[in-house]
Amino acid sequence: MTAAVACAALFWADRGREGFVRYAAAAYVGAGAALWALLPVGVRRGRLWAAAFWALAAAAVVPVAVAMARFDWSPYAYAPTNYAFAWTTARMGQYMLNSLMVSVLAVGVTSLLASMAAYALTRFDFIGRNWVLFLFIGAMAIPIQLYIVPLFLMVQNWHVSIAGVDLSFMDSRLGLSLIYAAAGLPFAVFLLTGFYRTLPGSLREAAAIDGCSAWRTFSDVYFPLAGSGLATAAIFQFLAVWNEYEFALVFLTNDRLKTLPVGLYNLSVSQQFAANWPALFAGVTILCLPTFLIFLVLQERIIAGLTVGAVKE
Amino acid sequence: MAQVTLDNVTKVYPGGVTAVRDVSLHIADQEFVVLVGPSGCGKSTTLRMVAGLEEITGGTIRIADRVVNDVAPKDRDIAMVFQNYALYPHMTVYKNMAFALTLRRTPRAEIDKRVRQAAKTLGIEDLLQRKPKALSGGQRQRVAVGRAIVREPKAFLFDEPLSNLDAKLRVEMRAELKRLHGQLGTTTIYVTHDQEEAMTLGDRIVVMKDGQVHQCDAPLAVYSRPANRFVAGFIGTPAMNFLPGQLALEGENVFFDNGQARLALAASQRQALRGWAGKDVVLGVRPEAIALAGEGRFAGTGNTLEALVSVVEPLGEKMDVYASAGPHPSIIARVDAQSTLATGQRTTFHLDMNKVHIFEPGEGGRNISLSS
Repeated sequence: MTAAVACAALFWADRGREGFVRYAAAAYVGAGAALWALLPVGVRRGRLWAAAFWALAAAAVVPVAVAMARFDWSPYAYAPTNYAFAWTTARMGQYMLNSLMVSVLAVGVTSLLASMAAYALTRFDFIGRNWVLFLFIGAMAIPIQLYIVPLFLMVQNWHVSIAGVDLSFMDSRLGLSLIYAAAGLPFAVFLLTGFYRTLPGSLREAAAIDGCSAWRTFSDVYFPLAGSGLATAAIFQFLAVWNEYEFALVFLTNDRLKTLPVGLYNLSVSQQFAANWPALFAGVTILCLPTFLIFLVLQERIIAGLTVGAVKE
Repeated sequence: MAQVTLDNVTKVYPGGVTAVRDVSLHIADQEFVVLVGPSGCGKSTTLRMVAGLEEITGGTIRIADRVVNDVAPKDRDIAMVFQNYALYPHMTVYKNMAFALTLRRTPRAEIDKRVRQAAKTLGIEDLLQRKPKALSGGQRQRVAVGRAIVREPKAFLFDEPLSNLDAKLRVEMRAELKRLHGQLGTTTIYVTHDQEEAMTLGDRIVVMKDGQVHQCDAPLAVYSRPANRFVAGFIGTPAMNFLPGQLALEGENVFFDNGQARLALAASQRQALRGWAGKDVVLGVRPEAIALAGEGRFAGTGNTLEALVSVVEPLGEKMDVYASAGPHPSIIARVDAQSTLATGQRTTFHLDMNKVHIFEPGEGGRNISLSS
């Protein structure tokens, strides 16, 4: 949506040149936005598809038309060299690796911690339980931009030396992924508490009688059953981390460590002057591809996770 | 195998609700005891306290002479079968049954032996590699029982294990549980709200209501000698008929009088009832202890009720006759089936006065005809 509105605004500012292209592209974006808004809530699956498609289309197609003041619907040349350029010269390969490392670690830590927290919040009775849950939910309401400065000030001097290796939150992929893990926890905990509530409580009693400790009950009985909820939480966290820009921009300064969104921005800045648009869009495609593939393969699961607990099966 | 003893066990939930009040029970080794009562009577809570799933507010519970009040469920050496089976959905039947033994580090060969033996006993050998979701309700129930018996525990605890099954399967599994108990001889505590299940399964049944034990005795004793009106009404289907009235003394004889009928009570009850002459009481008579005038059963004098038939329910060999008799809108009689009786017809009931009970007035009125 935001992308569509931004593009429309861009067109408005740019009016007066190449009238036909402008109107055609504006109609394209407008129709997309309208379609997106009008799709009935019930057709969630279709809506997701539309979202994925329009995000891609609005980001990829429209600025080309604006910038080049010329628009051709049909590709007229296949140029794999653009990808090679983006991958190596523009370092998208390195950024991709960084993004993967950060995402995998952040997703792993969030999933593990969130599932433990959610299990405790649903299955243990302790004083202040609802307050803890309330804090998690409340944290979801705070945008990251609000605490990016205090967070920076807080962690900039944190150092740990383990076996001669100096670990820090600044300019560190590990540090960034831990920050991501913390930022992703509230939503993951919220999602997973809902999921754990759907699992029968009598399993815990059966496990207690069978001889499980509290930890074994979690690790051997509930955790394996949380698979689908966990997958949903992990996908959401992955998408959030993969596309995250602000934290990565603030906490990583070494170009070698940057993640894809920041790297892509670098590429766009440099290619603006070189006017190498194809290479830029090759970079965009590289960035989008994993997300797109995840949507393709796992959309059923994402939807299932969204509606978990809605109906008793 | 072991005896289980409850001494003055009480459960008060946070918030002040008393679920179980001063329950004392002694369950002998190898005994099959059924806790029965309407929902909310505290029977499940009692069982869960024995299992260790609920904390005990007061009193003591002993399993094999060891006080287990503060012992964790896993260390009580008991096995429990839940109403919803509580099978681990991600494990195969084999793993479900082996899980408790695995946790106790039983040697693998021993686990395998016990699981296969239990599976054989229950006829689920072919299902060992399946997951619970691929099983029918009856099969899941068998697996749940199997999970309990591989443990070879001191006691089995069953929490309404058959109530999720359909009627036919329930009767089958009931017989199977009884056979299994005969075979294994493990001390068993069984909770149900179904009085028929209680009657058929238990060596003794414990009738509970409002957190208290109302009667604890062999099934037939509870049936034929109910301690109070609640037990009398709860055990037996159709339920016992209750007619309010007064007792009257006439020479040696004691009569029950409700203004419409005058029933001469049996000689065996006279001694106990003499002191109640002139007082309000409730007469209880089971549908099976009522016959139609034409049947010849219980024929006599001083035991008749004039009735107006309202509904006739044929059951095959027997039929249930719903009728009104004087001030009582509904009396049920289970009589020999005959086709001549029709709605709206007048008839005469004969009561088996040897099986009539006299209760104090009130919902839970004591059975005052018993003391002989």
